Amino acid sequence: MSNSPLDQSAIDRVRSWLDASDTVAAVGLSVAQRAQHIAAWQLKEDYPHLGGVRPRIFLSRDFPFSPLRIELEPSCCLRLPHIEANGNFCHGVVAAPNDLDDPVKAAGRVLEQFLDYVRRSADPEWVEEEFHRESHDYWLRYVDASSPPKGYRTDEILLEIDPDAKKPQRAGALHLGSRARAIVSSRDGGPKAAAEAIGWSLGTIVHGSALIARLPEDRRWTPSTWPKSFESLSALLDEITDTTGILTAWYGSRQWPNEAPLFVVLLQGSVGFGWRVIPYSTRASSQPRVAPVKVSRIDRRWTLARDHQSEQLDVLTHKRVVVFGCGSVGAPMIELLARAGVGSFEVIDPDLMRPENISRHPLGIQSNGGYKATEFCQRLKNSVPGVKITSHTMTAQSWLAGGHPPPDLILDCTGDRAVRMATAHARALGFGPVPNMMIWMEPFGAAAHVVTIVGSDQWPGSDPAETAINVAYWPDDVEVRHPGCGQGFHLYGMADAWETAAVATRRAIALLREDDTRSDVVSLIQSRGYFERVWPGITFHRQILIPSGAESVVERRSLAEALGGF
Amino acid sequence: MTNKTFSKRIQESLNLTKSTERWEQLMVSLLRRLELDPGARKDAEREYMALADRIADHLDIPRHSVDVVPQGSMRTQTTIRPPGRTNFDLDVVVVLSGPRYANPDPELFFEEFGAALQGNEAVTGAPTAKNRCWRLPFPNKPYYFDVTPAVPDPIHAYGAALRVRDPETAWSPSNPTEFAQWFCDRADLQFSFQSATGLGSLIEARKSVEPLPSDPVRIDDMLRRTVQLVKLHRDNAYFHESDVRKQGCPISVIIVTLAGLAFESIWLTRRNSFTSPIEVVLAVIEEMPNWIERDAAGNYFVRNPALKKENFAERWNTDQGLRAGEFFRWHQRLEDDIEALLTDEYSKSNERKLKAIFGQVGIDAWMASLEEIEQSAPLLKGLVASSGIEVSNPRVATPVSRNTRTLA
Repeated sequence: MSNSPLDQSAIDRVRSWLDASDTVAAVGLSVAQRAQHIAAWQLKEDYPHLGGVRPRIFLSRDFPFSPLRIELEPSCCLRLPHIEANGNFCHGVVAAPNDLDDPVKAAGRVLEQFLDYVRRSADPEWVEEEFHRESHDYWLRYVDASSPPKGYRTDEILLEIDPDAKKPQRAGALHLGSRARAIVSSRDGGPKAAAEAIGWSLGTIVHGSALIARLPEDRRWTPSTWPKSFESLSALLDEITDTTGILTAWYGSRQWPNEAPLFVVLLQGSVGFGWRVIPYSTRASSQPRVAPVKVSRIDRRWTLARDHQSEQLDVLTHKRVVVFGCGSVGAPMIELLARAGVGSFEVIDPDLMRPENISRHPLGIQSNGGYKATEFCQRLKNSVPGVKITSHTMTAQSWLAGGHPPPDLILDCTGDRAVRMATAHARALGFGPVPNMMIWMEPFGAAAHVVTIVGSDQWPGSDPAETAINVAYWPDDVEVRHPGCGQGFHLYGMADAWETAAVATRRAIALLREDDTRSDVVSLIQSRGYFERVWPGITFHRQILIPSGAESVVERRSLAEALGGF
Repeated sequence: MTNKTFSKRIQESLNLTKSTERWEQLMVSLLRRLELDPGARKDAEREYMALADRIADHLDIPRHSVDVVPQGSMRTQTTIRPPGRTNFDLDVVVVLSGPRYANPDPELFFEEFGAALQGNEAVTGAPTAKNRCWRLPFPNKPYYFDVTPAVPDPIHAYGAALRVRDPETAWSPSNPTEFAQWFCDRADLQFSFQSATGLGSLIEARKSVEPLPSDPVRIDDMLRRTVQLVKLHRDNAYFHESDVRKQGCPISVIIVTLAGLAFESIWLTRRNSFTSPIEVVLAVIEEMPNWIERDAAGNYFVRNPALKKENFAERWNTDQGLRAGEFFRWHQRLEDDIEALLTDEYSKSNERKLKAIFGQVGIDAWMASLEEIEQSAPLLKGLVASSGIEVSNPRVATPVSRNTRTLA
């Protein structure tokens, strides 16, 4: 496609309007600017508090879907809020429904916002408030603009500490293989254990340290208040920790090698601001210097809940879930539960990942030949910080016979009668009343069932899954045969599996949070027409009423109601 | 309640709101507006020179025997127009010398001098006698003169180079020049942030606020501005007070002396610990009462620094505590009013707080400074209007906001 405007008419109208105005003068575009923009103008007035430069207005090829751009000087960045490193004014105006009908007004809305900005930014209080309101963004720009000496560059601190701690903390620090990223962790085993758990490679290991403190919420954090030297950082730490000389005591407490990663991190609300401490021997000064560093929290509170609903997260973090079957339903359920905050998993599955599993399993061709449980557990460990997950490449029955301590929940995603029976048996005997959920699908994803058994309720030894729970009678030949022992399969797709996993995960979370602790059966059922289409002549156990206009229903029955006479 | 001092508390708040410069700017532009303008000042100078000519003529003495010396706020350059009045109070001392004034009778001398002021009532108005001076109302001028006749006291028989008629003691010592010189010497003291090395930060800070044309950006003359500010507050504070209280109102010479002493002491002990003029102003205000002395009998002393025998607070010791009580009450109120004002963000202040210190003229100047922002960027405003958008009032417009990406 050629590099042509999306709406020539809108551009022409704005162009004529600006060309006719005696408040702006057209200016040329550089070759680079021409790739994106059609034309540019310069205002005929300047504003001393905005650096005294006359602002430029750019009209882009995708106007009005991309708004007018206003540019000041790059030097305005960090001196004034809402100015990016290239001088671009970040106006926050987005396309409105009538912009194509009235493109001049669309341009006017941006200029109106700029006028408001020109006036407001004359007020130093407003400038400070705005800087503070988006303090994290401006900090990142400051980090980008900083130039630490060679060998002391850290682009990002990955921080894994207790975000609730009110007192200053010390934690170990290590650089990751790339050397531009560091990990700071207070977990057992320190940053090395954290990095290994996640699967990050460490470079040459030089142990460093970090001092972490909390900045009061009401403390203004703006370019004019950021400490920019070791001395001013030290003074700030003294003040906020109420401890004289805390930084110098920490820094002087032991002799780290010169190249050791040493950091100071201040947390304010959910965000962190970091500095790398650079030893004085690298420059002609008796004091160390500091270089700003971006801080990314990787603790569970932040990564899994953005610091919201922490109590609910904590409840789930302490839960241990055993999952039978790491297949097309089990694997996504583990992932959904882990990202919802469940802290510990044991995954039991003896099967290998085969190429034909790819169509509906989250693992891919790179895991071909590996155990599904092992491969998937590793993938999850690398993805979700702090999750504890163990794989057992055995059958569920073997695991049940292995004398393991009872978990908080057994999730049976095998759809296998023997496993259902073995689990029911184990609950009745040694395991006691461990909540048990059984999840399976009817062929073609025509229905999915989530059976939850809690407390003293029992799943009948007759295993009435196909008779009391399933909607339809499925003949044996619905299973596609494969020339291998026990390698038949049912036709359904990944969407069916994930929909099942989503319904089951919601039920599992309600159970784990103890929001809903009744034994029940939740069924996702497609319309009768769907059943008849995928298997003409199919017969049903019971009549399912699908409301007019709906394609499927999620039905919930008490276990007693579902089992009826069983 | 914090145990930080008045000046520290305000300074912390100013640092937070970044309002220092705007408050300083408002103060200076206001105080300038309340001063006698340079044209009227020149006119006053011409008038008192003409007065000297007339006095020499009427008393029939050589012109070189009549010396006119401005004193008080005119001499210390701390004049400020009192609220509700348009006229400035200008003090001049007229020193008469020569054999005739070697040892005159004080009452006769005073009367004769008053008579010599007559004859030009069309310009000066009729002279009226006060305690030590004659008042010339100058009905058509923006000022009136308090003219104090004095004669030399070469052997300092009364304690100073000059003596003036005093209805109670016959003669009193007077040294307007020395006192003014003492004050001006202190006003010239420089703090380290005002020196070359500190200039960079001031210049940098200037860039962040657009100065009003021809208006000063920072407090330029810290001691004089402090005195003006404090006098202005005093004038406003006592404007609606009872006559009894008005009697106890702190007199200017005490304010000037205490401010000068505090300023000098701050300069001597901690001139390197300040970063902005307003910090110095606040510190001076805070320290002023520390320079009131008391003896074992509980008598108050605010000594004339240029004439130690003279106690400006002498009347505090004979008025059953009226003046002393008023001073401390008013000083507390000064601190409270300044704290209430300066701990507000500039644009979010309110009229009541401004009025307490600056009076109505302060409210007007503050409103004008906010209005000015609304009138800025005329071309941009025109361009926005030509797009068909009604230009909104900036104080009610939605703040610049950025896209909220809810799905990130």
